[in-house]
Amino acid sequence: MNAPVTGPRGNAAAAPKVPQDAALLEVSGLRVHFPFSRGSLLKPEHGVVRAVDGVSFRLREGETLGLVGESGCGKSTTARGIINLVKPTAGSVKLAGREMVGLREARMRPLRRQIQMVFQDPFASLNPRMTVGKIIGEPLAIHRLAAGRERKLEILRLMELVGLNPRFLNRYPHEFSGGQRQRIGIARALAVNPKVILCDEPVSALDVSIQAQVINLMMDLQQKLGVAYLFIAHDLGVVRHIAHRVGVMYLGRIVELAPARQLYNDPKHPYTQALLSAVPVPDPSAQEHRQRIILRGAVPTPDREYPGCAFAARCPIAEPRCQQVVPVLADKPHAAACLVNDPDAS
Amino acid sequence: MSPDDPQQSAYGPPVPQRGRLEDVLAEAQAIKGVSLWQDAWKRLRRNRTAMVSLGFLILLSLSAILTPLLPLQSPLDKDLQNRRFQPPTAASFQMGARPGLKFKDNSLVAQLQAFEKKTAALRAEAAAAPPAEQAERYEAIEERIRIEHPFNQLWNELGPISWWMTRMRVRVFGDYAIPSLAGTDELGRDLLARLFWGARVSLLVGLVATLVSLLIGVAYGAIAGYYGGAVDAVMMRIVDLLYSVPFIFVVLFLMAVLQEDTTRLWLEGWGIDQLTIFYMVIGAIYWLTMSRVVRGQVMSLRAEQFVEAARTVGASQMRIVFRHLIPNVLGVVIVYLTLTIPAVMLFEAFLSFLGLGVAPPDVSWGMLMQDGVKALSSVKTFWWMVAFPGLALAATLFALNFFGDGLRDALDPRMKNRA
Amino acid sequence: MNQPVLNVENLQVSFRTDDGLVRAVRGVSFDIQAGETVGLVGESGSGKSVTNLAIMGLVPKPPGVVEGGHAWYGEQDLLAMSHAQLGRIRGHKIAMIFQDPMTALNPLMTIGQQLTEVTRRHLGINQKEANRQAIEMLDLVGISGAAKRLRSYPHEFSGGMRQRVMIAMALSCEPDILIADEPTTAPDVTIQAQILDLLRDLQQRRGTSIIMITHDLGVVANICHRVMVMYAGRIVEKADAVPLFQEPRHPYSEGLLASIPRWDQDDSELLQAIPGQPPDLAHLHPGCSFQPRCPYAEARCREEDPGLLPIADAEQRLAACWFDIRQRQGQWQTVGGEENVE
Repeated sequence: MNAPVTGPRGNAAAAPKVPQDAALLEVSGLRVHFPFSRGSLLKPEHGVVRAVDGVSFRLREGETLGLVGESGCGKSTTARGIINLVKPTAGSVKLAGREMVGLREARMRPLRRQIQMVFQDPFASLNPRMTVGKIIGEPLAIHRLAAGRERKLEILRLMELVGLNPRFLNRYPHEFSGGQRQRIGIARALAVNPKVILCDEPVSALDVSIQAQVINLMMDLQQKLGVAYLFIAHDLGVVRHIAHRVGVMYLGRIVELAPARQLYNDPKHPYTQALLSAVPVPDPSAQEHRQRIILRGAVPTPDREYPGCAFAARCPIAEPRCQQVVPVLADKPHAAACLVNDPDAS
Repeated sequence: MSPDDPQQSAYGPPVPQRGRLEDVLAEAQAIKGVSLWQDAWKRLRRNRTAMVSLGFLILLSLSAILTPLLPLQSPLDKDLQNRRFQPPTAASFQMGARPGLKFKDNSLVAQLQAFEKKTAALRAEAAAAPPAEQAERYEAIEERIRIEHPFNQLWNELGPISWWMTRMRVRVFGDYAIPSLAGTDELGRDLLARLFWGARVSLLVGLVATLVSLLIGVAYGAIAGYYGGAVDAVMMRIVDLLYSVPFIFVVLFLMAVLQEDTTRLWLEGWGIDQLTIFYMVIGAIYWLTMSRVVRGQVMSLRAEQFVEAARTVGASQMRIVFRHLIPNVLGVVIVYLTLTIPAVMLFEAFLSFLGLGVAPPDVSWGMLMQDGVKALSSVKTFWWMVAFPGLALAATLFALNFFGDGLRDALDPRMKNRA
Repeated sequence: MNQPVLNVENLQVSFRTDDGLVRAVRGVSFDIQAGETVGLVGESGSGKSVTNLAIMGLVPKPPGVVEGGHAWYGEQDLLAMSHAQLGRIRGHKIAMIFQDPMTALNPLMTIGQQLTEVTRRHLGINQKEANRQAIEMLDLVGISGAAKRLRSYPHEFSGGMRQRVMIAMALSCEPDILIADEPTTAPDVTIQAQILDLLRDLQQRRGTSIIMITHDLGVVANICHRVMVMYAGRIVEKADAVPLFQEPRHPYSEGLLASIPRWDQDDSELLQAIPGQPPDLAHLHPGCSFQPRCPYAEARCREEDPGLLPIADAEQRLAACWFDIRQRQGQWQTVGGEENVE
């Protein structure tokens, strides 16, 4: 891992010096619940959608933690909860030791220089009425990091950093391709020189050949700047490539967390195993020899409560105790929230 | 950059040197992009109907603004002896020719000259008088101008700019006035002149009242849409409530109350004349739909990723509203504006038609139509009294509607996703 | 070689836009035999979806214009048919399933109504018989309690099940050809796998030919017998699936395969990426359309477009390249993404 890198503005002094192995971002017991009501006037139904239901992990400086899962598992909501785009219902999010949950916006603002986000949709994540220069320059203006000539220089530097031709400073988003727009989004996130960037499916909306470019770019930037990523994706291949550690989410919880290689070579949670058996491999001969693990039952929805392990109903190796005790993700390098496969889960 | 350029490394970036920064900025300016507004304008230009309508509207606005400069007859001078209900004619006309005006030589120019000579003489006298009396004398002269100036018999309450334009007109055109190409009304007044002067009022009402409704509606709708939740619920229920009120009655009531002498004088004491009240009343009605439209737009925009991105970057709520939300709402607002103006104009015409609008001697198209319909009910058909105001109003409304349609097509949000 | 079920010859489709004439499909030819699955692979702008729409007569006529070509279905040319004639074939002999099941199903009609609408129109059977067949189809695609589900509305189903319903609708009249336009772009991997299994299964049982349109090479490896790789409106490589993956012969195919991050292989170095972007179809340069991004390109490539050329030492393989890339030096981009083509 790289030592903390001071950016060109040397503002690493703004944050307390973090020791090498301490966590830069510490999420603990994060819950995001959305209350809802449906049903008729006479028979009202109230319920809670448990989008994120107890997520904990640590992110260290300069590392990439991948978060994978299928749609509805809560990975996007986790990122939005961390950065306070949605209010967490419970839990703690500590950035360099400072608690972020429950902060008012005014207190939150200086912290936003440490943690930024890249969004999924390259079309929708840029204001169509602002030029690229203004979009990238906005964070600089808000946090008063540079003004006038300095700011222009900085914008140009950022554009070059992400591989955009700086001559296109005055162009509008709709004049760029998807991949280029994503680069603009990355440049905007980098403008404040953050330590952590949350990436919400940043390459999912891009063509395959462009995905590779942007992934390379992000890995390169990590090398250069020492920034840490929380990389959310549903594409297992992309995540393996870019992440040091990977967490698998199911129904609002992390069910397995391990270094990338270990997760893919030796998955411990049955859901991970089923997932890996289902992902198609671009190799016809390998494809023929795979054994699919078929999951029974329907995909559960986060608006209901499930006793014990949420996966038990579909699990091929479930035991009776699985529906009684809620498995816990232990705090060790390779952990699975499975009573059967991981002895530390209870 | 052509594909032949050697692949440059985009990293190990040199921070641009002094000279280089200027170069890059200059180039950036040269190849600057086409904003969505410019894009929309290009599209609008291709829409012929919209362009013709725009041309018509510009022409109309210009002629309304420049009306005092045009060699038109007086819109309020009555000629009950000779010129009642005259059909459109090309017979020549001279300003000041009516004997009842008692202008020197039956000419406006001559009367004006005489008046100004007299005033100049009075001024000279005042200058020669002892200083104590001067203020009083000058005041008396001003008073005289206010009351006895020949312009006052031909035009009503000209503001300073209009006054200056009328003087220009007299200097350029002398006594010449365009003949009554649109005929005259029951009091012998020239309809053409009334059409032009009426246009000023009708257009002004349309614009100002719409702007009032815009200001109220955009602010209200943006707040409701942005805050959402309970705030939005309450605000929109109020709008729903107000919607259910039958506006005709409210307006009738309001105008009736405000036209009562005591109230009117009191308001005029504050400098609020009837026309202003009129604007505000109409504006206060039309803001409702505008607020709904804006609220809907703001709500859908609020959930867009670029607004989330702005929040992530640390933008304050003010910044989000003004830099991100409003510019993206403007398109809809503008289109809605251009479609509200005709509605307002029609409403004003309707009110004037009922006799609740502009007060004489001010004239508006609605009022002209009222006169025209009254005239229709007699034995003879004085068709020109309805036809011309009707045509003018219809043409304007059509133009505004076509232009608004063209604008809406040009600003279509599908252009947002052009890859 | 048997008579192909569908034979597309030199299809050309363009669109009139504000930016000029966009030539989306520029001379595409391929055929498909009974019982085989052919993959049309490409990224956005490659023309794969438009090809498919043109075959079905679904290209929006302004601004789109089918400039030339034929699509032979048996003796008939689909492109020359009238609206009424096409109507008899669509849904009946040639069926299509779409990417987004939510928008492909009418939210105001029950599943039963939508299923039976198709069969009653094309097969002329009565409601009772149509219902019976609909239940059979739903069973076939793995929806339990089919009889009751007939009365459900689309929003009562999950995404994966809606996909299955769409497949049931498509197959209800036993078509010869099923065109699947990115049916597995739903992000749920497990459902994706189930859908592919289903399609393969149905093909084996009924001998349906499938045209699979996708950008996902994993899907192609899973289900396709033959593959056509498309780029900038043309087919740049035709091959059987296994040889294509083992040894791609067109630089674009090679680059595409090299740029996919593999989760089953441990490679922590940088991905090999294809630099630059796909060309602007409204302003195409002469010569090979892939040339600006190709590491093997030479002067000749800029001047002359190779067209699909047969590969000397392989049967049934064609690639649109002047060279044998196995023997050429060239490297894909491994540094962080560069933007050099503007």
